[in-house]
Amino acid sequence: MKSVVFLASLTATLCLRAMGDELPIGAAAPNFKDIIGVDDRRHSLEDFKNAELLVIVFTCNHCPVAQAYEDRLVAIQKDYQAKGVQLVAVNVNNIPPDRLEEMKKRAAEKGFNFPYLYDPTQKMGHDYGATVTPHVFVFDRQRKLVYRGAIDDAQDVSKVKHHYLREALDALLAGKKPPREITQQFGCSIKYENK
Amino acid sequence: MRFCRRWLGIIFALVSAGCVGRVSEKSSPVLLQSIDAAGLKREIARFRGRVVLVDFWATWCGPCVELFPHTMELYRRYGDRGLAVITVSLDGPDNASSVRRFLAEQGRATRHFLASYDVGAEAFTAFEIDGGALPCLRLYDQHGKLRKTFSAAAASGVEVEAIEHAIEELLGVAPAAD
Repeated sequence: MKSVVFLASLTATLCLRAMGDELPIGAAAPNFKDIIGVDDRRHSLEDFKNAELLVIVFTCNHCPVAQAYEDRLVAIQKDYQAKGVQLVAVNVNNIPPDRLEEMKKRAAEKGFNFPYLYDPTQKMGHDYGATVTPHVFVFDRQRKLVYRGAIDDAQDVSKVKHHYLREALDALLAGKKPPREITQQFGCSIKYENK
Repeated sequence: MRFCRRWLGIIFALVSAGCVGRVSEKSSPVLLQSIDAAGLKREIARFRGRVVLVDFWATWCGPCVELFPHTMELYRRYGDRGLAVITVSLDGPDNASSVRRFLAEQGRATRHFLASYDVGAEAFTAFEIDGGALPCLRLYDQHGKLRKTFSAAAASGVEVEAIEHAIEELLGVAPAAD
């Protein structure tokens, strides 16, 4: 009987995860392998094994909210690179303005100083439970989820009161828990093709 | 999001015919009021006895802009049969003019509101927008009880036919004729 209950609960969990539920704090980073980047190279989770903290940001080209955060992401990578933080941007949208060639243009225009990956299978989005662009997931040295949500609390940079991602990185680098482990992400819905 | 052919046909017919009601609506000023989460609760309560559809949207959200005429069409169809339609823009108080410009091209709703919060975490938290994703629509019954949420972040997404079906069910009306 117990095994039936366990199997039922496991099946339910898998179904829920498959539908794109967000990762719980403490969850292991879902693996990804051979995902093409704007540098025309294939990237895998394993490639970033030396990073103290790994920041996966789901973003895209077309979304005005995601666009508003591009400069902030570049600044964060610049400010935290020497401290062992690696930011990786991922786009899983397949609409024409978000495809790889457009991503290359956008990354060049904005001077992205981090990998910008394209997963047209959208598997990464489902695995991480990303719902919007931008949507951030931070993993510690053991690649356990330690923060997820928004980059900060306002699209308009002049109105930001809480720099959630920076605050999380600062705390983690100091060996502490982020002041907020989960914040409310907001932005453009990811255009999943098979929900 | 899949628009059924019927809706596309209706929207095309309205646009191409430039129907009289639409012309007069365009010339009238759009009433756009500021609202926070507590205000929205009060607003929903005001319409006790009616089915209430709340459409959270923004001009920067492509799927919201695509869906909006459908929401207006639902009000046109079911407004006199007990449906109240409330729209809440999450464009932020600084963008009232662009919201007004957009609404001026749309049909009437029971109420159009602009969220009093800036575009950010506070707005999406206060209104409890599922997954932080727009569009998000909520359907309340005649007793003010939340009965359905249609969210871009949900596995089922936002299906216009599902919204219409849920409204018809709550209103107890037969499906509207084409």
